[in-house]
Amino acid sequence: MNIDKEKLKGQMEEEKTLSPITTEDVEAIGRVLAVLENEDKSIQLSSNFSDSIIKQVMHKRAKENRFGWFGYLAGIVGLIVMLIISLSLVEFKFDLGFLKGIANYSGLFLFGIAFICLLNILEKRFIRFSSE
Amino acid sequence: MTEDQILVARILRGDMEAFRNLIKVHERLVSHMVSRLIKQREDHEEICQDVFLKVHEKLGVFNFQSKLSTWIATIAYRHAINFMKKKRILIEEVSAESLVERFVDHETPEEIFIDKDLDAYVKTLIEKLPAQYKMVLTLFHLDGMNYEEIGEITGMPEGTVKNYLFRARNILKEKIKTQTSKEEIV
Repeated sequence: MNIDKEKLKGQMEEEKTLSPITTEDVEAIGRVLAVLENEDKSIQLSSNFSDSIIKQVMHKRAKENRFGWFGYLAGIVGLIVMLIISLSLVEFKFDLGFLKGIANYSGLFLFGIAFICLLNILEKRFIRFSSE
Repeated sequence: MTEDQILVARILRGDMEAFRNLIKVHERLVSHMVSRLIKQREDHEEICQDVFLKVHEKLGVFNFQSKLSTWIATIAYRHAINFMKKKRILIEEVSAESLVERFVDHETPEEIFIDKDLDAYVKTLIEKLPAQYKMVLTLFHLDGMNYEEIGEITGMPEGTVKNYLFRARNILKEKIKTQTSKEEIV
Protein backbone atom coordinates (compact mmCIF):
# COMPACT_ATOMS: atom_id res chain seq x y z
CA MET A 1 0.00 0.00 0.00
CA ASN A 2 1.63 3.29 -1.13
CA ILE A 3 -0.88 5.58 0.54
CA ASP A 4 0.69 8.14 2.87
CA LYS A 5 -1.44 7.82 6.02
CA GLU A 6 -0.39 11.15 7.53
CA LYS A 7 -1.21 13.02 4.32
CA LEU A 8 -4.50 11.16 4.03
CA LYS A 9 -5.44 12.07 7.62
CA GLY A 10 -4.65 15.72 6.86
CA GLN A 11 -6.82 15.62 3.75
CA MET A 12 -9.70 14.04 5.68
CA GLU A 13 -9.40 16.61 8.45
CA GLU A 14 -9.67 19.46 5.93
CA GLU A 15 -13.42 19.05 6.17
CA LYS A 16 -14.93 20.07 9.44
CA THR A 17 -16.83 17.07 10.71
CA LEU A 18 -18.63 16.56 13.99
CA SER A 19 -16.58 13.53 14.99
CA PRO A 20 -12.76 13.49 14.90
CA ILE A 21 -10.95 11.40 12.29
CA THR A 22 -9.70 8.21 13.94
CA THR A 23 -6.88 5.87 12.94
CA GLU A 24 -9.54 3.32 11.89
CA ASP A 25 -11.10 5.89 9.54
CA VAL A 26 -7.71 6.58 7.93
CA GLU A 27 -6.98 2.83 7.68
CA ALA A 28 -10.36 2.19 6.03
CA ILE A 29 -10.02 4.96 3.41
CA GLY A 30 -6.35 4.05 2.89
CA ARG A 31 -7.49 0.53 1.97
CA VAL A 32 -10.05 1.90 -0.49
CA LEU A 33 -7.45 4.13 -2.12
CA ALA A 34 -4.97 1.26 -2.34
CA VAL A 35 -7.56 -0.82 -4.20
CA LEU A 36 -8.36 2.12 -6.50
CA GLU A 37 -4.65 2.69 -7.11
CA ASN A 38 -4.18 -0.97 -8.06
CA GLU A 39 -7.19 -0.73 -10.35
CA ASP A 40 -5.55 2.26 -12.08
CA LYS A 41 -2.23 0.46 -12.39
CA SER A 42 -3.85 -2.59 -13.99
CA ILE A 43 -4.89 -0.49 -17.00
CA GLN A 44 -1.94 0.12 -19.30
CA LEU A 45 -1.70 1.92 -22.59
CA SER A 46 0.30 0.27 -25.39
CA SER A 47 4.02 1.07 -25.65
CA ASN A 48 3.58 2.83 -29.02
CA PHE A 49 0.70 4.96 -27.74
CA SER A 50 2.41 8.31 -28.37
CA ASP A 51 3.73 7.16 -31.79
CA SER A 52 0.27 6.36 -33.08
CA ILE A 53 -1.06 9.77 -31.96
CA ILE A 54 1.87 11.58 -33.61
CA LYS A 55 1.22 9.58 -36.79
CA GLN A 56 -2.43 10.62 -36.78
CA VAL A 57 -1.52 14.29 -36.22
CA MET A 58 0.99 14.21 -39.10
CA HIS A 59 -1.56 12.53 -41.38
CA LYS A 60 -4.17 15.16 -40.48
CA ARG A 61 -1.68 17.97 -41.05
CA ALA A 62 -0.70 16.61 -44.51
CA LYS A 63 -4.39 16.38 -45.43
CA GLU A 64 -4.99 19.95 -44.25
CA ASN A 65 -1.95 21.16 -46.25
CA ARG A 66 -3.24 19.50 -49.40
CA PHE A 67 -6.62 21.08 -48.87
CA GLY A 68 -4.94 24.45 -48.19
CA TRP A 69 -3.04 24.39 -51.48
CA PHE A 70 -6.15 23.32 -53.34
CA GLY A 71 -8.09 26.21 -51.77
CA TYR A 72 -5.31 28.67 -52.62
CA LEU A 73 -5.21 27.65 -56.30
CA ALA A 74 -8.99 27.51 -56.56
CA GLY A 75 -9.11 31.06 -55.12
CA ILE A 76 -6.66 32.42 -57.71
CA VAL A 77 -8.45 30.72 -60.60
CA GLY A 78 -11.80 31.94 -59.25
CA LEU A 79 -10.51 35.52 -59.03
CA ILE A 80 -9.23 35.46 -62.61
CA VAL A 81 -12.54 34.04 -63.87
CA MET A 82 -14.51 36.69 -61.95
CA LEU A 83 -12.24 39.44 -63.28
CA ILE A 84 -12.83 38.28 -66.88
CA ILE A 85 -16.59 38.06 -66.33
CA SER A 86 -16.73 41.50 -64.68
CA LEU A 87 -14.64 43.12 -67.43
CA SER A 88 -16.85 41.63 -70.12
CA LEU A 89 -20.06 42.65 -68.29
CA VAL A 90 -19.04 46.33 -67.94
CA GLU A 91 -17.52 46.30 -71.45
CA PHE A 92 -14.26 47.61 -70.04
CA LYS A 93 -11.81 49.07 -72.55
CA PHE A 94 -8.18 49.35 -71.52
CA ASP A 95 -7.00 52.96 -71.46
CA LEU A 96 -3.65 54.40 -70.30
CA GLY A 97 -5.46 57.51 -69.06
CA PHE A 98 -3.17 60.16 -67.50
CA LEU A 99 -0.05 58.19 -68.49
CA LYS A 100 -0.77 59.19 -72.09
CA GLY A 101 -0.63 62.84 -71.01
CA ILE A 102 2.82 62.64 -69.40
CA ALA A 103 4.30 60.47 -72.20
CA ASN A 104 5.83 63.59 -73.76
CA TYR A 105 7.65 64.55 -70.52
CA SER A 106 10.06 61.62 -70.23
CA GLY A 107 12.81 63.88 -68.86
CA LEU A 108 10.63 64.99 -65.98
CA PHE A 109 9.69 61.36 -65.32
CA LEU A 110 13.34 60.30 -65.16
CA PHE A 111 14.19 63.26 -62.93
CA GLY A 112 11.41 62.17 -60.53
CA ILE A 113 12.85 58.66 -60.26
CA ALA A 114 16.41 59.94 -59.80
CA PHE A 115 15.26 62.42 -57.14
CA ILE A 116 13.50 59.71 -55.13
CA CYS A 117 16.62 57.49 -55.33
CA LEU A 118 18.78 60.39 -54.15
CA LEU A 119 16.49 61.03 -51.17
CA ASN A 120 16.74 57.35 -50.23
CA ILE A 121 20.53 57.37 -50.39
CA LEU A 122 20.73 60.55 -48.29
CA GLU A 123 18.34 59.12 -45.72
CA LYS A 124 20.35 55.87 -45.42
CA ARG A 125 23.75 57.59 -45.29
CA PHE A 126 23.06 60.55 -42.98
CA ILE A 127 19.72 60.47 -41.21
CA ARG A 128 19.80 56.78 -40.09
CA PHE A 129 23.50 57.03 -39.28
CA SER A 130 23.01 60.06 -37.00
CA SER A 131 19.99 58.50 -35.23
CA GLU A 132 22.02 55.34 -34.43
CA MET B 1 7.71 31.61 -18.69
CA THR B 2 6.71 28.36 -16.96
CA GLU B 3 7.71 24.91 -18.19
CA ASP B 4 4.17 24.30 -19.44
CA GLN B 5 4.18 27.57 -21.39
CA ILE B 6 7.48 26.69 -23.05
CA LEU B 7 6.17 23.22 -23.93
CA VAL B 8 2.93 24.61 -25.40
CA ALA B 9 4.82 27.27 -27.40
CA ARG B 10 7.07 24.56 -28.90
CA ILE B 11 4.07 22.41 -29.84
CA LEU B 12 2.32 25.38 -31.46
CA ARG B 13 5.44 25.94 -33.56
CA GLY B 14 4.95 22.39 -34.85
CA ASP B 15 7.53 20.58 -32.69
CA MET B 16 6.33 16.97 -32.60
CA GLU B 17 8.92 15.90 -30.00
CA ALA B 18 7.43 18.46 -27.62
CA PHE B 19 3.98 16.99 -28.23
CA ARG B 20 5.37 13.52 -27.58
CA ASN B 21 6.66 14.83 -24.23
CA LEU B 22 3.25 16.23 -23.38
CA ILE B 23 1.67 12.84 -24.12
CA LYS B 24 4.25 10.99 -22.00
CA VAL B 25 3.70 13.34 -19.04
CA HIS B 26 -0.11 13.23 -19.13
CA GLU B 27 -0.98 9.77 -20.52
CA ARG B 28 -1.30 8.26 -17.05
CA LEU B 29 -3.75 10.95 -15.91
CA VAL B 30 -5.85 10.67 -19.09
CA SER B 31 -5.86 6.87 -18.95
CA HIS B 32 -7.04 6.90 -15.33
CA MET B 33 -9.70 9.54 -15.97
CA VAL B 34 -11.14 7.52 -18.85
CA SER B 35 -10.96 4.14 -17.13
CA ARG B 36 -12.75 5.44 -14.02
CA LEU B 37 -15.76 6.35 -16.15
CA ILE B 38 -15.73 3.75 -18.91
CA LYS B 39 -15.66 0.09 -18.08
CA GLN B 40 -15.23 -1.23 -21.64
CA ARG B 41 -11.51 -1.94 -21.92
CA GLU B 42 -11.65 -2.36 -25.73
CA ASP B 43 -12.58 1.32 -26.18
CA HIS B 44 -10.11 2.64 -23.60
CA GLU B 45 -7.03 3.25 -25.78
CA GLU B 46 -9.02 4.71 -28.66
CA ILE B 47 -10.73 7.21 -26.35
CA CYS B 48 -7.37 8.21 -24.83
CA GLN B 49 -5.99 8.78 -28.35
CA ASP B 50 -8.98 10.94 -29.24
CA VAL B 51 -8.39 12.99 -26.08
CA PHE B 52 -4.80 13.79 -27.09
CA LEU B 53 -5.85 14.58 -30.68
CA LYS B 54 -8.36 17.05 -29.26
CA VAL B 55 -5.67 18.49 -26.96
CA HIS B 56 -3.43 19.06 -30.00
CA GLU B 57 -6.28 20.65 -31.93
CA LYS B 58 -7.35 23.01 -29.11
CA LEU B 59 -3.92 23.86 -27.69
CA GLY B 60 -3.92 27.20 -29.53
CA VAL B 61 -6.90 28.43 -27.48
CA PHE B 62 -5.53 27.28 -24.09
CA ASN B 63 -4.99 30.50 -22.12
CA PHE B 64 -3.20 29.19 -18.99
CA GLN B 65 -6.05 30.26 -16.72
CA SER B 66 -5.65 26.81 -15.15
CA LYS B 67 -2.86 24.24 -14.97
CA LEU B 68 -2.18 22.37 -18.22
CA SER B 69 -2.89 19.05 -16.47
CA THR B 70 -6.29 20.33 -15.24
CA TRP B 71 -7.18 21.46 -18.75
CA ILE B 72 -6.19 18.09 -20.24
CA ALA B 73 -8.12 16.25 -17.50
CA THR B 74 -11.19 18.40 -18.31
CA ILE B 75 -10.99 17.39 -21.97
CA ALA B 76 -10.59 13.72 -20.96
CA TYR B 77 -13.57 13.89 -18.59
CA ARG B 78 -15.86 15.59 -21.13
CA HIS B 79 -14.77 13.25 -23.91
CA ALA B 80 -15.49 10.21 -21.75
CA ILE B 81 -18.90 11.62 -20.75
CA ASN B 82 -19.75 12.30 -24.43
CA PHE B 83 -18.69 8.75 -25.30
CA MET B 84 -21.00 7.41 -22.58
CA LYS B 85 -23.88 9.52 -23.91
CA LYS B 86 -23.21 8.34 -27.47
CA LYS B 87 -23.18 4.71 -26.37
CA ARG B 88 -26.25 5.36 -24.20
CA ILE B 89 -24.41 4.37 -21.06
CA LEU B 90 -26.41 5.67 -18.12
CA ILE B 91 -24.83 8.48 -16.10
CA GLU B 92 -26.61 8.19 -12.78
CA GLU B 93 -27.67 11.12 -10.68
CA VAL B 94 -27.44 9.66 -7.19
CA SER B 95 -29.01 11.39 -4.22
CA ALA B 96 -27.69 11.00 -0.67
CA GLU B 97 -30.55 8.62 0.23
CA SER B 98 -30.15 6.38 -2.80
CA LEU B 99 -26.40 6.25 -2.21
CA VAL B 100 -26.98 4.90 1.29
CA GLU B 101 -29.59 2.49 -0.08
CA ARG B 102 -27.00 1.07 -2.47
CA PHE B 103 -24.78 0.05 0.42
CA VAL B 104 -27.45 -1.57 2.57
CA ASP B 105 -26.55 -5.23 3.15
CA HIS B 106 -28.53 -7.64 1.01
CA GLU B 107 -25.78 -10.20 1.06
CA THR B 108 -26.00 -13.17 -1.25
CA PRO B 109 -24.12 -16.35 -0.21
CA GLU B 110 -21.48 -15.36 -2.79
CA GLU B 111 -21.00 -11.96 -1.18
CA ILE B 112 -20.71 -13.55 2.24
CA PHE B 113 -17.92 -15.72 0.82
CA ILE B 114 -16.20 -12.66 -0.69
CA ASP B 115 -16.41 -10.91 2.66
CA LYS B 116 -13.71 -13.24 3.95
CA ASP B 117 -11.16 -11.28 1.93
CA LEU B 118 -11.25 -7.62 2.95
CA ASP B 119 -9.66 -6.32 -0.29
CA ALA B 120 -12.22 -8.22 -2.35
CA TYR B 121 -14.93 -6.78 -0.11
CA VAL B 122 -13.53 -3.24 -0.67
CA LYS B 123 -13.62 -3.94 -4.43
CA THR B 124 -17.31 -4.83 -4.28
CA LEU B 125 -17.97 -1.62 -2.33
CA ILE B 126 -16.09 0.45 -4.93
CA GLU B 127 -18.10 -1.20 -7.70
CA LYS B 128 -21.28 0.00 -5.98
CA LEU B 129 -19.94 3.55 -5.87
CA PRO B 130 -21.39 5.77 -8.67
CA ALA B 131 -18.82 6.93 -11.26
CA GLN B 132 -18.87 10.62 -10.22
CA TYR B 133 -18.18 9.73 -6.58
CA LYS B 134 -15.33 7.46 -7.59
CA MET B 135 -13.96 10.17 -9.86
CA VAL B 136 -14.02 12.84 -7.13
CA LEU B 137 -12.44 10.47 -4.59
CA THR B 138 -9.57 9.46 -6.89
CA LEU B 139 -8.92 12.95 -8.26
CA PHE B 140 -8.65 14.29 -4.72
CA HIS B 141 -6.66 11.53 -3.05
CA LEU B 142 -4.71 9.81 -5.84
CA ASP B 143 -4.16 12.64 -8.32
CA GLY B 144 -3.72 15.27 -5.59
CA MET B 145 -6.13 17.82 -7.06
CA ASN B 146 -7.95 20.41 -4.96
CA TYR B 147 -11.72 21.09 -4.84
CA GLU B 148 -11.46 23.97 -7.32
CA GLU B 149 -9.57 21.89 -9.89
CA ILE B 150 -12.00 18.97 -9.52
CA GLY B 151 -14.89 21.40 -9.94
CA GLU B 152 -13.33 22.76 -13.10
CA ILE B 153 -12.80 19.28 -14.54
CA THR B 154 -16.21 17.85 -13.72
CA GLY B 155 -18.23 21.06 -14.05
CA MET B 156 -19.59 20.56 -10.51
CA PRO B 157 -19.79 23.41 -8.00
CA GLU B 158 -17.14 23.23 -5.27
CA GLY B 159 -19.81 22.49 -2.65
CA THR B 160 -20.99 19.44 -4.60
CA VAL B 161 -17.41 18.18 -4.91
CA LYS B 162 -16.95 18.46 -1.13
CA ASN B 163 -20.30 16.78 -0.57
CA TYR B 164 -19.53 13.85 -2.90
CA LEU B 165 -16.13 13.39 -1.30
CA PHE B 166 -17.53 13.48 2.21
CA ARG B 167 -20.42 11.11 1.43
CA ALA B 168 -18.24 8.64 -0.48
CA ARG B 169 -15.61 8.49 2.24
CA ASN B 170 -18.12 8.30 5.04
CA ILE B 171 -20.11 5.45 3.59
CA LEU B 172 -17.03 3.46 2.59
CA LYS B 173 -15.22 3.87 5.89
CA GLU B 174 -18.30 2.92 7.92
CA LYS B 175 -18.84 -0.24 5.87
CA ILE B 176 -15.16 -1.21 6.09
CA LYS B 177 -14.98 -0.51 9.82
CA THR B 178 -18.08 -2.66 10.41
CA GLN B 179 -16.58 -5.44 8.32
CA THR B 180 -13.23 -5.24 10.13
CA SER B 181 -14.90 -5.41 13.53
CA LYS B 182 -16.96 -8.43 12.33
CA GLU B 183 -13.70 -10.16 11.32
CA GLU B 184 -12.13 -9.37 14.68
CA ILE B 185 -15.06 -10.95 16.54
CA VAL B 186 -14.79 -14.08 14.38
